[in-house]
Amino acid sequence: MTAKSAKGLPIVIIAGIVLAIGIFSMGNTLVQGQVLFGSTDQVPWNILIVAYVFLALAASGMCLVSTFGHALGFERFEIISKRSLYLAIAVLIPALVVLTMDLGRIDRAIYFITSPNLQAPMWWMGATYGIYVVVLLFEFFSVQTGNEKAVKVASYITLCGAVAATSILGGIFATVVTRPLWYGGALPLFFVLSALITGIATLMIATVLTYKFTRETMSYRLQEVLSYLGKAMAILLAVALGFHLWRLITLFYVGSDSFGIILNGMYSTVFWGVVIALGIIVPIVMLMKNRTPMKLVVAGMFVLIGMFVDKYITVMGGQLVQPFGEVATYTATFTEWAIIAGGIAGSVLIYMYGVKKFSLETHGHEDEKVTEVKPSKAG
Amino acid sequence: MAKNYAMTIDLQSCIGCAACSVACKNENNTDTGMNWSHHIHTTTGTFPNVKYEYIPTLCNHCDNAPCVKACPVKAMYKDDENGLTLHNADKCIGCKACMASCPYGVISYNKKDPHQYWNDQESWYDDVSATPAEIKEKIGTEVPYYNPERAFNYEAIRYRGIVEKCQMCDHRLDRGEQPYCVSRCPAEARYVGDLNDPNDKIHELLTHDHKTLREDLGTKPKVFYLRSF
Ligand code: SF4
Ligand code: SF4
Repeated sequence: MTAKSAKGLPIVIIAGIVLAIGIFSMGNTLVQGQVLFGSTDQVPWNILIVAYVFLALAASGMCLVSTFGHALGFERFEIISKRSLYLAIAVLIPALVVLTMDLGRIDRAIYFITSPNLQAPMWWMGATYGIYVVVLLFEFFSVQTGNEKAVKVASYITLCGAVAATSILGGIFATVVTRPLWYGGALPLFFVLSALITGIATLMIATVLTYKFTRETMSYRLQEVLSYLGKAMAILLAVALGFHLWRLITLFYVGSDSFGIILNGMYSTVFWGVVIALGIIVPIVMLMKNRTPMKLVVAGMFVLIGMFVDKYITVMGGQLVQPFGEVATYTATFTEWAIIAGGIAGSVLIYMYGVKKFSLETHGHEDEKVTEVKPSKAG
Repeated sequence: MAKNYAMTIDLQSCIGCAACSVACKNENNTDTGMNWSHHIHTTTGTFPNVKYEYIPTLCNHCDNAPCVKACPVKAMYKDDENGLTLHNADKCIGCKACMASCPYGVISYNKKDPHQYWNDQESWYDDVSATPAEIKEKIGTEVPYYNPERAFNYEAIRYRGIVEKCQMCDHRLDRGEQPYCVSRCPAEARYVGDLNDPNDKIHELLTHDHKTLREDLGTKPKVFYLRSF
């Protein structure tokens, strides 16, 4: 433990500083209002929404991976279930805080309960995430106290919750008929797919780096599971590539202005360079064989960058084309970035706290079955 | 029977003077840059073959309003009594879901409290003209051209953190008056009538050629543009 804390100290300090700047920016926003944000009447949602979508999807993805072991009975996943579950909580709670910063009147959140609009996807998102967070916390509490039965029941609920919350989040965008980059039933499904991809990438990075920092050796079984997850991610990435291509093809057929933004306009360089090449093609090639832990980390990083930029293009790009053809612009401000960075730093700190306090590498009765062998390449 | 108000704008009468937009600002106490009544104007072609088009715009009070469906807390709602799409300033949480889903871009968000200009302590010419803050103090209202009538059924001046949009002067319609933009239009291009009343003049007006904006979206907009060129 002492070696662990000493090694982690610089990270804690850096994350602490970033978090402090983030909290300061949040306070500043509460005092000065959203004049500190880059959003406008033409582009009402800003990069906080992008970050929220990205982080909430990552959390749902990790929750799903944790249910592979807990609910669906894939035994080999049991050894990462607990870490995955805890990470989901560590990411989701700061994500929700980031989201609330974009509400003009957070003090009126009570109207979600007293004046619900059951037609509004945003209401459903609020409701499902509200319930989902509570059940996630309960599930982790049950894992911690060794209540296997409660874990099982809770994990069924969080499994449904993760899929529902993620697709409803997609539904907020998918129901907007006027925005071609959003509209249609494919987007909620793509959000679920993105959730799995983002979640797996985050989990792989967190797991491998945790072992690196604590200088503990990864069991062969763990390496095997990670390698397996890497392979699964590569397959899911190929499906994501298919989604992107079909989206472009359909946009091409309707001659949408949004098509130009992606194909060869304002966002084309980041779309082709970051989302497609760096975020999908390169990781797929990397993950084809020899999935060593460090390779998983690097591929995972590329995937996360690609996924973030993808959500940026969807959420922001979707708002740029104005009703009568004009194209607006949007630039994120320092305050927005600081709040996002603060949220991510919060997640890192919550996770590190968990690593220290809750022995995330083990899970209940599976402990003794974990055999320690020398780390080697898992193919 | 409940009413269902709709507006007609005769594009061949409209002279593109934007008096409607100015009148709206007076009536509804909107700040600079916040336009419930707006316009699209497009110039196409090169001289001498130029076409200039001016279309006054406002909230279409859509019968199938995406903004109403998107609002999580029913702050944006359809009023059963008059068929208008109205905003409840007291309930709005400022999530901007309505803005993201309105296909016409007619909803504005208050990033800050409006009319800050009137707190300014600097005059245009020192010792010659009064400062905005002095004028405001002298007149004793929120803004010098403040219209208290707007407070009849909506926040007279909205505030930071919520959205706002055209309410079709529901406070005036309530007492049998036309919206202010309608009564101030020098070309008498506008009219608001009740679609549910078969004797209303609006049915006669709608016998002219007419269109609505982005009809293809299925929003059933209720601002009808008559006789476009
Ligand atoms: S024009 Fe926009 S704000 Fe007005 S009712 Fe239609 S969708 Fe709502
Ligand atoms: S900004 Fe206000 S009116 Fe618009 S959807 Fe949100 S709560 Fe409703």
